[in-house]
Amino acid sequence: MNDLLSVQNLSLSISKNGEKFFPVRDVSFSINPSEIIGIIGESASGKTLTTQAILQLLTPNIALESGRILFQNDDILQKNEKEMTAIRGKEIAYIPQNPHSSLNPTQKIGSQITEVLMRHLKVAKKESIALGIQALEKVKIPYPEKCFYLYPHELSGGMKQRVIIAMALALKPKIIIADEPTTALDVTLQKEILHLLKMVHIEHKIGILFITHDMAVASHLCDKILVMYAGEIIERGLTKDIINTPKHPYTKMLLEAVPTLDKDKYHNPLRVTAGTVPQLKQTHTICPFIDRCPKSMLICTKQKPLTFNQKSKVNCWLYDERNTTNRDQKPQKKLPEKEVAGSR
Amino acid sequence: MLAVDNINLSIYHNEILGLVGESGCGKSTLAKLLMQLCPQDEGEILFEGKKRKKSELSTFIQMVFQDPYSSFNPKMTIYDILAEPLLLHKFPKKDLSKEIFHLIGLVGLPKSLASLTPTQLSGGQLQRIAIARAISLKPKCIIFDEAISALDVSVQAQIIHLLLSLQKQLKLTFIFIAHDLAVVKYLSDRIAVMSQGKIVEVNTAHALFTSPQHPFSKKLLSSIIELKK
Repeated sequence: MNDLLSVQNLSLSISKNGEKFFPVRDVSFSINPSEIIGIIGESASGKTLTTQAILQLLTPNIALESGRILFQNDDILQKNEKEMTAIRGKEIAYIPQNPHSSLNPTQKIGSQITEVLMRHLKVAKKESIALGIQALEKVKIPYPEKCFYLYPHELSGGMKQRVIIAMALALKPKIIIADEPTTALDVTLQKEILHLLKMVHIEHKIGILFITHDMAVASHLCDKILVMYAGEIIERGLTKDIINTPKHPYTKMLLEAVPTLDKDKYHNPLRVTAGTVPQLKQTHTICPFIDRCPKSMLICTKQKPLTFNQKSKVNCWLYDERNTTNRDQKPQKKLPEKEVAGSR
Repeated sequence: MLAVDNINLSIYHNEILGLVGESGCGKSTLAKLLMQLCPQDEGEILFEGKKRKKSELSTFIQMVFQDPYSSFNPKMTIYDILAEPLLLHKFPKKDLSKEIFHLIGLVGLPKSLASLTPTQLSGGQLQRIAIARAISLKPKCIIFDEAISALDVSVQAQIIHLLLSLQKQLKLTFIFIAHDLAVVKYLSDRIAVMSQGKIVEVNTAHALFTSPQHPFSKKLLSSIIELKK
């Protein structure tokens, strides 16, 4: 069976003041209605740009270098704006990070929902109102008839995010792209929204592409996780494998840097890795994580890592079983050492 | 409407007090009250037993904000940014550059950064500069209002590490406001829980997380999303 949505070897470039940057490099993955896929990465890892490429919402200074994005076996990168408008929202829905800036503050919730319904489903106004209220009911908004006639500022952040999810669902999309949908919300609301997304996924068989920087959130929601670093997917696999047995040194670092409740500044301190995400000017000829990696070897300074099959698929020379001679030799360059935080 | 309602809270020397609660519960308003950045209707705020004038306040308490990009004048160099508060407080001019480079070193940045402007730095580097500016007048207490929540996890861990070592080195008192409970638990000695303008519970970090007393604290703790293994 063919995948519902598949991104193949996607590379993007940004031109800025005459310089060229490569924020997304050779990214491939696919989504099916039965899955929730999580993309995890820090800022500037290319996760949001990847989703914008899928929706064809890239700003004009970002160019497609190579790759295809197939949606139901059609390359959506070849479609014109009119064809894309029919897909965007209707087939592939988008839930943005900040619900406060995603609704029009001068229009009532109801008219914003009916506008979308009338446009995409070509229904009459009366029918669209009924459908709209139904949509609000589905996302468990209390008193949907009342909420329908409120302005966005009369709703809380969590309610606004529900309205946006309701709008996305009303068109019965095949895929929802959720870009950090809980980051701007209060901690007490996060769980509710995650639960709602999971319910939507199960009930309506909608595939979800979930973008987050939060390992904990991803571990609850996603079936599979892709870890992105400096524009590349460096590790991919089932959520339980990534969380329990991370293979790539970067994934390990991400998991160790998250303060969890069992950590404690006196007895079980956080592990800190120095450095930040590298500049994205050149195409990577070696592993992008090398400057921060505590386990880098001679081969890492020479050749880009291949993908090795562990429990997860990982792009790191550590898992190369053919070649053990390079393993013991450390590169000449001094590498940042791990420090232990809070040893006081 | 009362944003902050009848709060009684003591902060001890050399401790880290965490302040948690939902958005709109009055955490930031309380911080602004301590800084005398907003008017107060009733009550007293005492530093070491005395009410302090606004002019002497800056050597007692300083603040680091959430968004490092909007905390600085984008046209000033890092050197000028750090020089400004020192000069205002009549720091001897001949020692100025030495002091500024000392501050930059203290927060773990290279000296070469001094000639750059804020737009040329990353979020993590800027937050380090914000910390350097906060400690420049040698205050006793620093308020961090969501100061690390806009940073990436790996950078966040670096800043947490920096905060703990500075606190130990300079014998500082921190008031740490955040919505991320795991971070607050990690850093704090005591935690105050706020809800609707009131402090509903103050307890040691360990006690709060093992046996929360107030229903709101319980609700807050149950909303933590832990890594699912």
